[in-house]
Amino acid sequence: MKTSYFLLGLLLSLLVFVPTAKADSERAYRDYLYQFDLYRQKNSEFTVAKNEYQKFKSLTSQTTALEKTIAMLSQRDQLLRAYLLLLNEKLNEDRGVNESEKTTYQTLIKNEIGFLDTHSIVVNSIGSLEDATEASRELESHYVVLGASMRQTIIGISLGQLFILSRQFDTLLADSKALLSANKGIFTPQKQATVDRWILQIQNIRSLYQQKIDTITSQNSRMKGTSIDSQDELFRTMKKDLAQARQYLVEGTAFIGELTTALRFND
Amino acid sequence: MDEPLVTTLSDLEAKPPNPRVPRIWLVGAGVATTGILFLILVRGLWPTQTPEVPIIAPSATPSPTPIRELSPVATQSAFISLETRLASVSAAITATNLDDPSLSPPVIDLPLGFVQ
Repeated sequence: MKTSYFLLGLLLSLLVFVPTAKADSERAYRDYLYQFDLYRQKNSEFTVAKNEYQKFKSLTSQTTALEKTIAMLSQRDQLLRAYLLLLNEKLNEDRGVNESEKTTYQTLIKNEIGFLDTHSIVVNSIGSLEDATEASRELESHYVVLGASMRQTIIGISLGQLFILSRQFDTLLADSKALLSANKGIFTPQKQATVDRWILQIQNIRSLYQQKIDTITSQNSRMKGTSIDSQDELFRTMKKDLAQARQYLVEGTAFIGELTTALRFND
Repeated sequence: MDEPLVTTLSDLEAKPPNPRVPRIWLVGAGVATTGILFLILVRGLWPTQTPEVPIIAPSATPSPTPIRELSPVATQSAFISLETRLASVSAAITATNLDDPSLSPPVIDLPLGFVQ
């Protein structure tokens, strides 16, 4: 009786917690979009105020420009913070990222949020346009590190998604091989030779997939320290490689499909 | 003023019908009947030849998919399970979107751009 109560409780807690994980990332995404809208609005107000100040150089326009600059800088920090929190929630949802990698990415995110919190304090203490320019430069000089952390985490999330699929693919391949070896004498020698060759080809596709994944993992760890432009270029290359790796899995699965069709019939 | 305008009684008397008019109709009808009979006769003597429609004898049509003999493996539970999981994994791989647009890093303006 106690066991059935325990199982019922476990089931209920699963039903409660599983949708929550998904809802957390959705909430984080909504918050990020909201912060982005605010940023666009404050950035536009800042641009207008800056142009007015540079045109008139009056005290009034200077004061307005300072207010709008502080508001924009503060919102810029909020936007980046919201984006990092979204990445964190996506990492929590991703079941393919192993614990050590997850910890690494979450540490990166935590460090960047820490930087932004400190930066927000600096922004709130701005007293002149020179201070504002200096505070902005702090973020500008750190943005390479921040950008690398963001891109590394995004690639890590995609690698996690692929890892789950590749594990399922490996199980299929192992089961196909086991089925073949259990029915070794059933097929004609010619068909057996064909099927064995197909298995080798599927394994070949699997190793091509693994090579791609290894390359992406290595590139992802080397992203820090480069400029934003080179980060973007590397990011695009890795995205292309990820798509290629997924394509290998698609082809491998199609090959296993052909193999099962061949096994289904005698001819 | 040669004739009086007053109608006389003799003008109103019924005149006998013209005997030549029905004869013309009778002759016309006779000619038409003869013509029709002639056409029927001609059609009967020389019937028009209609093109013959070839009759194709029904034959056994080959099936588009040849009937293949199932192997003993096809009925094994391990094989059926493999096929089911293959369909599921294949669908999962196809449905996976690695390019999630919600994860694109935000594009922000960095330098403030104040001219000193």
